[in-house]
Amino acid sequence: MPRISLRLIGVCSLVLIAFGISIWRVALPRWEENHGGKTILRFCHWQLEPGVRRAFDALVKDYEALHPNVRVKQITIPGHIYLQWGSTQLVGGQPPDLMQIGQGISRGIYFNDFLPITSYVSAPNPYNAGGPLEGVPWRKTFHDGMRGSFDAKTMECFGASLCNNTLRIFCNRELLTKVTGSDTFPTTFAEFRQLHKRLQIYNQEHGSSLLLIAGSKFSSQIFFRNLSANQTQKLGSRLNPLMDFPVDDKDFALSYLEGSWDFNDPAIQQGVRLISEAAAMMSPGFSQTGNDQAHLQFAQGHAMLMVLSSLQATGIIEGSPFDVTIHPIPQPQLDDPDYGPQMRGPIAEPALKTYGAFGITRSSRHPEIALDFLRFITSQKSCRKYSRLSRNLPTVIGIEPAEEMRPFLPNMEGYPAGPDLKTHAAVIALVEQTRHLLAPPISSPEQYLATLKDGIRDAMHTDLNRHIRNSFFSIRLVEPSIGANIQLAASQPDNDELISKMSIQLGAQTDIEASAYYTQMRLRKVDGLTP
Amino acid sequence: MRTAYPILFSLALCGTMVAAASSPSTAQSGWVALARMNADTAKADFSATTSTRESRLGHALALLSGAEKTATNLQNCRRELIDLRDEDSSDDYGIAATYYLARIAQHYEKEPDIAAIISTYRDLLSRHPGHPVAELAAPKFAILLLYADVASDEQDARFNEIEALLPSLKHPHNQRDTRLVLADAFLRLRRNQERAYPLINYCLDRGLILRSTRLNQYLLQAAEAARMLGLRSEALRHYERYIETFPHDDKTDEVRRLVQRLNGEPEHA
Repeated sequence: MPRISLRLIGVCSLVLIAFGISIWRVALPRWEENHGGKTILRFCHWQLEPGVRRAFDALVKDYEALHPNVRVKQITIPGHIYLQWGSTQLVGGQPPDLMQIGQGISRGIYFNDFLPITSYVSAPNPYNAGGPLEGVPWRKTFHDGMRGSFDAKTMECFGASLCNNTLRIFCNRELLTKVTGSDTFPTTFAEFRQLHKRLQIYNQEHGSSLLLIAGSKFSSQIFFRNLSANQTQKLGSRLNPLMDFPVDDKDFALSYLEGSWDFNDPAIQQGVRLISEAAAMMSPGFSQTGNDQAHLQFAQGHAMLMVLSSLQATGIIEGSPFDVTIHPIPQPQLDDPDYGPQMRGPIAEPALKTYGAFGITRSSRHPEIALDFLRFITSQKSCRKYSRLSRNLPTVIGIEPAEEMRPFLPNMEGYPAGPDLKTHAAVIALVEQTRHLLAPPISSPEQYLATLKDGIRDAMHTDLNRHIRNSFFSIRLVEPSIGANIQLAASQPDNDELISKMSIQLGAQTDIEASAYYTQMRLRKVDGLTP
Repeated sequence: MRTAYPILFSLALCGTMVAAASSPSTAQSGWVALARMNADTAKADFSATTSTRESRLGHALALLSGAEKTATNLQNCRRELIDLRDEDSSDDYGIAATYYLARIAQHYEKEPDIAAIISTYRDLLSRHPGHPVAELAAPKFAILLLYADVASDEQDARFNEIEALLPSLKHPHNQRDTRLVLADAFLRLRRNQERAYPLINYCLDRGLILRSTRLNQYLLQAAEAARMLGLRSEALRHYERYIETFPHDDKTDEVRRLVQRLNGEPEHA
């Protein structure tokens, strides 16, 4: 009789156990549903911030209390694997009933994966009954009128959202007081520069190595973009002969290729110097650092500040063993001798716009319950609770943000931002790859611009051609849908909603088409293909 | 055996009547599915009754929805549209087939024959004025005509041709889109605020611009054009409408300053 080794038995047992656990995990929801008599509703998102998860847990508890036959499960997936995880779920045909749309999920073709809820958003949200929003169409209960959930190509609505954000500086008040003798936070870039100098002197005097900003790749991108956009305000307006407002990023790139501006322009030179100065304020190696590492530096008191979005507020405030205060990013002022001359004024922030709506998946087994849950969590009462627990600004109207959240409210006083080098992936990648030249120990704006200059034309060409291709793809994609709406409108001439939807689709298609042909025409001229 | 023929005929007749009776609803549901980009459902609905020209057009457009996936879909779509056009080029479905064949030639051919496409659009507009599908060609025609590398004289003639086309357009969305294409081209290619402004103003005054991002852009453009043309009260009217419509935009504060500045200046208009 052949002897079976213990190792083989061990391996087989492990495989069987793993297999059993997998089957149990897969079968459990179905079993619970079939034998527990309860309907299981699953929703997933990538907002891992503790406040957000806690807030959703509270809403789930409230919903389950109202609907004892429904059990709601929250699934949180890290943002960096959300696309892969979500795509697998969608392709496998067993996605959660509600999925947060974004991070690449749906890639703009919502109908493949999600059910439109357009016909419901014009009706009141029943969970607002008895309150001030009773009878108000669901869509109009949102600050942005649900614009963030509408697909411009089909003019269909694909979900509702509780997410929005603003960018702010989080400050360790104790450290600020220790270094400066006061808890007054700088409001201008000049004062911010002073704070950096004070910290350097403090480090010399106390033999410490405190950092001003715990930097990460993400925070550096938003911090630098915010600063450089005020240096191109005047240049951007000069490039726009049609109105006294700055051109957009695409026209900025096209006008560079046409020779309307170059890297010797004072706006570019000063913008790069400003970023270089800001880079010196960040922790070394920030461009390779993740948000978690930066948060650790901040929470351990190694850095005084962090630049992040309001969504991370709860995690930062609760995860820090000191008082955290919130401030807008200090901008240069017009009287700043270095950076004032290129500016029109401090940049105004746009109004809050929702993002990351929860969409009902096509393969959901309980679409009607998913819709009901969506209505519940976006009612005024639930949104108020969510906003308080997550420290997020409310997306629903009529909710006064809590006192500690007021610093996150957008400041709409100021001037429009100037354009930036961020047309598409190729230019962004080039800028990111070259940015280390602006940070210590190199800190050379000249070297940065010279390196950028070598690759920028090709990168802009690549991006603009990609933009044209994407535009033509959108035009083709929506053509049959428009054709269908034309036929429907012909048989329902009194259906105002249908006619306005068709009209908007046609307008959007025409705009995209005209812009693509115009861009193509300008690129042909740049390439010398036309006189 | 002889008695079987009448029975079979009656059954066939009943079948045809049932199919005909159900065809409007399946065609309607097919159009609804296609409007929502649900091509598979639309294809199934239209395939259920391929006897009517409406269903055949719907089927062809459902195939066009999947044209990015396989070349066969595009070939079959084109074949169906050619048949529809050749059978009768002047009924609703023949006109639609002609229009979509031109759109396919424009957006699916590697090297589209622009002159032939322009000629088809021009033909549709002159032979079927006011037709809901034929008129869709107007803004597309304007784009192709205006964003072409031609000499200045020729460009002038093209501007005039599009301008002359405007009074014949019946449907508000085509009146709007053709005007805005023309206005944009005046601004982009000629920096001509004088000819662009009335076109934009026409659309704004009649409430034809529905999409908020588009309204934002054209309200500001109209206000700025009016200001640059010295039409102070017109500029103020557009700026004030901008502030009222977009109170929370990042440009609103600057627009408020422009209003203050205009109000503090002597009248020029």
